Amino acid sequence: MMADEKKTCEQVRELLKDRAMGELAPGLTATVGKHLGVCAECRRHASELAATLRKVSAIPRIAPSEGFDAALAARLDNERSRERARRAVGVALFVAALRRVRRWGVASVVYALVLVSMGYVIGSFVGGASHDVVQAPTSEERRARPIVPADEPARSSSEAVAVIEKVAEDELVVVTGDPYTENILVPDLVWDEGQPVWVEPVSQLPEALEEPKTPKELVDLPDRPAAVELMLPAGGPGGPALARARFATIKNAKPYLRTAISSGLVWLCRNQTVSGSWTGGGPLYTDEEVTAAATLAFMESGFTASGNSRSSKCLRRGLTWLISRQGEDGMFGPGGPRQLYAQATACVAFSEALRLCDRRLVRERFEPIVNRALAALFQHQSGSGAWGSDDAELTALVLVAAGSARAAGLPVDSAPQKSALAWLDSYRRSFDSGTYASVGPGSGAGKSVSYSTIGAVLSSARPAWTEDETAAGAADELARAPVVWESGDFLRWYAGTLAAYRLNGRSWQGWRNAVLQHLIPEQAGWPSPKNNDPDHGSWEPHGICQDGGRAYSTAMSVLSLTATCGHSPVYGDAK
Amino acid sequence: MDKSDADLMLEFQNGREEAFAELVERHKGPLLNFFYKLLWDRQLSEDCCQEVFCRVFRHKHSYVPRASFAAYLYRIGRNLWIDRYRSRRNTPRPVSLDAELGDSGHSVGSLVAGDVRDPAYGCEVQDEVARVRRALDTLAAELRETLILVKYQGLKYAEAAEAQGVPIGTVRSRIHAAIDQVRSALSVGPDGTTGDDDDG
Repeated sequence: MMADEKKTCEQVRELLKDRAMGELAPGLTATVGKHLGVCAECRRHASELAATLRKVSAIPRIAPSEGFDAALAARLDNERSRERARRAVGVALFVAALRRVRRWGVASVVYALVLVSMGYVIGSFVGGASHDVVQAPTSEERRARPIVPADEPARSSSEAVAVIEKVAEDELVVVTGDPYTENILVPDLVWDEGQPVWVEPVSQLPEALEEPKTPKELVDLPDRPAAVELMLPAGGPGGPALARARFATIKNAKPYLRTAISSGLVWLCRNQTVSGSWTGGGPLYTDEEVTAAATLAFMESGFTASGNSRSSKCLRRGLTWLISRQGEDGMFGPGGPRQLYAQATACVAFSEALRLCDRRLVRERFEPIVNRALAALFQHQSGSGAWGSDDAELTALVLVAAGSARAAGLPVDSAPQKSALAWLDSYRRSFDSGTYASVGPGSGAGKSVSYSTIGAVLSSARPAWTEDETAAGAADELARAPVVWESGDFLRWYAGTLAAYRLNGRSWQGWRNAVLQHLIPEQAGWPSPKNNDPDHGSWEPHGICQDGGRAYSTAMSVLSLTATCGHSPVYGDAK
Repeated sequence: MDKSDADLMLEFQNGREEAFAELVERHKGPLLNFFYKLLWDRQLSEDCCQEVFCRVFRHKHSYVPRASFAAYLYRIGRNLWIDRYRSRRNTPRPVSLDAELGDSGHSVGSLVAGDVRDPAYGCEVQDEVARVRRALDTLAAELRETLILVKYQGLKYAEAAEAQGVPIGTVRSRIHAAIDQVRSALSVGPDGTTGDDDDG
């Protein structure tokens, strides 16, 4: 009797779950009710079940965001164009097949059907490509043609850039995923507690930009609107207006430059991991360093973490992942030979995020991150004033990090900076005049005297650099380590571009052209991408940054290109 | 009287795109919440939701009205989730922008986006909700998706079975197991109190 009763209770408790889900068979409802009337234990069980399901129901429902419908509409438009492309190719081949039927007779109907099937398959590929590319790529021969012919090494950098511009005019394929054609600009100045955070008069901001309707219009866009030149003073918080100006600068840049930057960003968007990070290519570079560089690339290109575009979402996810990687001691990620590089890069990234956003809650969140990161970085300064084992590259990078924190409006201890500058100065003087060399065997090719110049220039409080003796000397030192693609020194190219822009004299144009000359033609897919090329928009990792992987080389290349537009995490953007 | 989902889908197959728009309007909210309870990430969920509608759009002629449209839709959604996330067992779990930040009462995403007034974020930081989320996260993937389909999305056992490609009996047993495990994780007493409550 007891065993039967037990079995019945177990069965009823199983049925109670079905009843709770609205799936109890009608015939069993009365049976269960009758049992509950006589079994106190099962009634208690039913109450527990109901309480559990009430709690489970407490998870709130979310509603689609404001941009959901627009994003879906855009994706459905892509689906329609793919469908049209499939049909068009299918119809063309069907017509061709019909002609053959008329000429060769009914027996070739099978052949026609095969052709139509092929047409659909080919159309699928064409349709797939239309997702990324507005106009069909040019021929293989044209694509294979070198941009800067190897047999013309004597060509000056400005001539080489002119060739790039000419090729872009003839052959450049515009990417529809271009983040600069989406309607994504953070539209308004944000007010914080009733006070305008940004002091720039709205009338001085760039005009709203019309989206070009044709490739011709794209080419005809002005190189750089005059309004942008009225932008920021050096340093200080920039807020959304800074991002807006950066966006406008690149949107209005020469088509080849804008396309290179936007293709790089699109590649970064596509290659972000599910967790929000970007991964390196070898053991030296941590994901933290690569991710920090990638997030910085988005910010220097005019995107903020508060936007609704795909780029902004990638940026948000990247910063979120980085936040999760900061330890109690303020350090980002695991230790390793490049941990301090990662630390400095992350510090620059969060300083920039801080500078580009004037929302009080965000500042409250990001300020401690930068402060702790910088404090941890300063703790690793050696007695000589350098970071690492007398590493000029790292020391310069730390100075950039300190400068970026200061530009974000944070108070930064000046003592570590002074001792670092003194060390860089003595380091530079330890070389004979006119010498550019690595420190010695095993010390790494990146430890160059030019880094001491980069660090000094980017830490300088000089309001403006003119063609005086100091600037000329610094420019000469910078020029001793020119941009050469084979070295793969992506970090120094970026830092050098920032310094050259700051020097602003004769070194600027030559350095800028050299960066463009070496980076643009090396971008995968330049000027006309292959269909479905997964590398399109990225740069091949090689040389001393090989271990950084494709994400790092792409992020740093995009950063170098944004720096050629005058964007800087350390100073105000424009002259 | 409103047309059924199947009727709208048939109209869409015959070229009336307004019918598809109506289907999207009906199902975008539930489908978004289906992904949200699997991923706990609004952006990823929206991306998946849009991708499901794109797949329905792309393969509209593959729909045969022998099962409910909801089952068809969630089957596509489930396959997408498996393709993108569930099968990536070695991939770190996404760090959600919607995840709460300590005791701040806000998520990283809401802070960064300045979106702190969203009531969903406000609710999420409540202890009870956090505990339920953790309880759901402890479930095996099959149990979790079955519970979400039936309990949250309101699918019948038969529809959930169609969506998951399993017999109805499997759905039933999964629901029973999921409820047992969630109840154990939440340790609910008959008056709705929990073990944690008792401690306090």
